[in-house]
Amino acid sequence: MKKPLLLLLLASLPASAQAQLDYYARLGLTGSSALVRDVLFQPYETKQGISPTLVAGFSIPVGTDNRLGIEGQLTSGPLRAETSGEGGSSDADLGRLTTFSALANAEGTVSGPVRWRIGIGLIKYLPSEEAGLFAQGGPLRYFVGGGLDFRRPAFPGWDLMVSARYDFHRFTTEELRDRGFTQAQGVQRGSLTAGLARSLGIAR
Amino acid sequence: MTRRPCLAAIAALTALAACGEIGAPTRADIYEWRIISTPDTFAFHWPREQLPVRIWVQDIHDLPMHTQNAIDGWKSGFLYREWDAVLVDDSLDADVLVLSKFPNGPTILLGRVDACEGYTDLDLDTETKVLTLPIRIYAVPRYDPDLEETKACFGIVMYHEIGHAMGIFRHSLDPDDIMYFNPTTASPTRRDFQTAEVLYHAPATVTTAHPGD
Repeated sequence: MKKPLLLLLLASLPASAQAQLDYYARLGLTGSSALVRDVLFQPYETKQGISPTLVAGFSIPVGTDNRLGIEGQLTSGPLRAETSGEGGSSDADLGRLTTFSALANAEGTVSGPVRWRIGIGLIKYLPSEEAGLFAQGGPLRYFVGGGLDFRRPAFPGWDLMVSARYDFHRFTTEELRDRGFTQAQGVQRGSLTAGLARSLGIAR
Repeated sequence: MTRRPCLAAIAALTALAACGEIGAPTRADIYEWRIISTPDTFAFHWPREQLPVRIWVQDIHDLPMHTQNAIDGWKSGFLYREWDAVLVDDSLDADVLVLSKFPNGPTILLGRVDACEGYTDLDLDTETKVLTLPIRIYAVPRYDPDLEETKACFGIVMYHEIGHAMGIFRHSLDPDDIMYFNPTTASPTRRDFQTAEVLYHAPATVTTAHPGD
């Protein structure tokens, strides 16, 4: 699905493509549901804590109101394994986990300064060390995601951009499969970010 | 683009989110690791606050290298960093000592490979269920220590004895396992790893103390 989207992007490029380019960068936080749910006498949950996030992207117009773009997101934060039950509770530090994702997306207007965005992409897991569930490296998974953007002029030529994102993918690793884990864990992530956006050459 | 495809996509996202949980393995393929002396059960694992376990190794017969290999190998069997160990320079600062000599008295655990022998000595008070540290591991050659088979033997024996020092206080009954009393495999099997994994989540009945505590 990614290839047709890219072809559509290229086909829609007008002669003065740069003049209609929209680009942005934002900072914020991302929260994630559990990557692995395990049972070892009592439930065990491995998840990434609320983590700082950097987002950057661009888009080009398609038709009168819609746009197509690419959005990259870099998130890095602690990975922890938590358990609690009759046998006590513990919280193990599993190092640092960084994820990089790229979302090929379409966007349009919801109402006034609020725009929707939805797409598909790839997410790559980059653990700080190859151990535990990442003993055989971090996986590359596809995901679907979307969200809302709010924009309003802040400085001459620049907009303030506040965005909420949600994405979903299914997580597993080679190591988990080798250890007998079956299927994959549905992982949901949500982020809230704010930053600046700039449109080159678009009449307002 | 109209809003209808957008709504359909959101519905699809919601449906995707609703399905899918990873299936954890049962970890049922394990062997008994506890000393059971009715009515008492002696089960031990290093508490997280005592990690990493400090191991001092006599610098002879490449024992530090074999010990480090065993530490790295056993560590790789855990998903959640349940166990860790480091080599230390000062034997007075160690939780585990590795020596190349025969033990002075009877030991609880003996592992024997053709070209060498290993012993793990646990100072375990069966009344108070207190394990006094350090745990002592003895690894001795039966033939010329420079022979290739003796070197390979030390590799196996250190895996085996470090397994005891981790808390596997019994031997596997399966000759394929590293914790078999006369192991031949070069590294832990899946059953060895699963046993270690389970014991680190099972309740421990034995606590540790240092001499004089």
